[in-house]
Amino acid sequence: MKLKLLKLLFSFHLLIVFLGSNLFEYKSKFLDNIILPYAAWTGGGFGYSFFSPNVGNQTVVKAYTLHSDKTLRQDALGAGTDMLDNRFGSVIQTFRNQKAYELMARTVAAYVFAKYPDAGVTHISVGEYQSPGISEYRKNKPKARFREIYNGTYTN
Amino acid sequence: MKTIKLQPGFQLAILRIGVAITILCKVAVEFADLDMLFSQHGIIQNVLSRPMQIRFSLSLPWLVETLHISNEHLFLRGLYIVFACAGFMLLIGYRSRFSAFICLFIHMLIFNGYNLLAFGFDGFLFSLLFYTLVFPVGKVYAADALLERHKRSGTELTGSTGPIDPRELRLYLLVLQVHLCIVYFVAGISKNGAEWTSGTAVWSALNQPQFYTPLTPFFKDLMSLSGVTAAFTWGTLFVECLFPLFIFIRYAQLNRLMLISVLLMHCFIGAVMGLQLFAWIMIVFDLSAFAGVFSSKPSFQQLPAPAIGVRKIKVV
Repeated sequence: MKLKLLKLLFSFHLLIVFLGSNLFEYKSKFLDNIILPYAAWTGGGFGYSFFSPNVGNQTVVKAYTLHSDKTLRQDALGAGTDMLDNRFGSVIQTFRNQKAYELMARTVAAYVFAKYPDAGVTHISVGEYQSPGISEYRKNKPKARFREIYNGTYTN
Repeated sequence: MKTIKLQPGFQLAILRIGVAITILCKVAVEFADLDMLFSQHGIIQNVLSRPMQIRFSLSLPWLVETLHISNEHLFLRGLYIVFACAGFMLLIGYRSRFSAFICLFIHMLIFNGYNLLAFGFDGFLFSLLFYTLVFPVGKVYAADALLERHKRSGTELTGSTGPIDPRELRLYLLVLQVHLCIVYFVAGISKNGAEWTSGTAVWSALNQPQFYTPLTPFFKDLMSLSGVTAAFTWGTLFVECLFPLFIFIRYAQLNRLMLISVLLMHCFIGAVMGLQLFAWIMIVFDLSAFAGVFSSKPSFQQLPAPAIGVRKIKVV
């Protein structure tokens, strides 16, 4: 009896894992109402589509902050230097359109002012790093290029 | 040569110990930045976290509001110290189920509250913590098992206190195996963009600043050689798409080759791309599901229960 019950429970669990895996695109509110809360309690039912359909370019946010002692500090956020930056990178990759870039720039500005309470003004530049082609790399080993896609200036 | 005989269900010990080490590492790397990461005054504030809250779920911002916690700094530190203690208890297998519950509860609060900050590693840790809670991980290579044996020495171990029922053990391993196969299959199938089909995806990944490590320059030079990037890219697709098929074919050498291939893939991700925690949790997942293929008995996971040496033992 116990084994049967376990089989039933795990079958349901694996079904949710499969449905929530992003293999199929379903448009059902009913399924969403089951899968999302179930995933929020058990961790089963999240997408597994890493680096897909393409790897894509990496979005990085650069912040140029003027401090009260008249020094200018440059920070690159989302470049993966430590765990905080890695997680920040995760937020940055979520936002992928012009309106969202504006929201992201504001989020970064809020982060900068939280990190540097003495900061007066910060200029946020959102851009993508574009990797060189393989044949181009073979010739003169160029680095990935930064192409700005949004900028904004914010005051504390 | 003397061979080491592993206890039946040793994969559950791999799961428990691997997950516990992950938690301790997670606490160590995040402890200094807790306020910035997981407080209302950090990167993700209420305005962003609230609309993303999933109905009927528990989350850290919800808990902070409900309990009217004013000193979030102290609360977060306390929470992470409890997280680390529970992780250590899980590592040694002392009160395993209770420790797993505490770890799952804390991870769930953070994950649900700040899922914008989450990446693949967090999702897998969540899934494996759930399995650590529901599987009897305290019965193999654990302090719980030792204490239980000591307490009941001289009596036959049965039911919930004895060794794991072979049929249940097979079910637990099958759940891990099927889940892992879904992960690889979906990850492989969804990589259908131009970068993957043209064989340049690994090159693009290596060129991202976030994945820069001391090994990057060497591997960029290596990948720039003719055909190497394509081999790595298509090799990844091949392994991910066909792993679910080849790992279940009753041919031990093929099973081992597939498992070693995915382990190497994760070692590459950890060492070259700097995603050590993600690589580690995937290696734990791989080994807890399929480490049996390295057993001297071929196709371990498909054999009937007596073949894996699971039986009731009488402790004298």
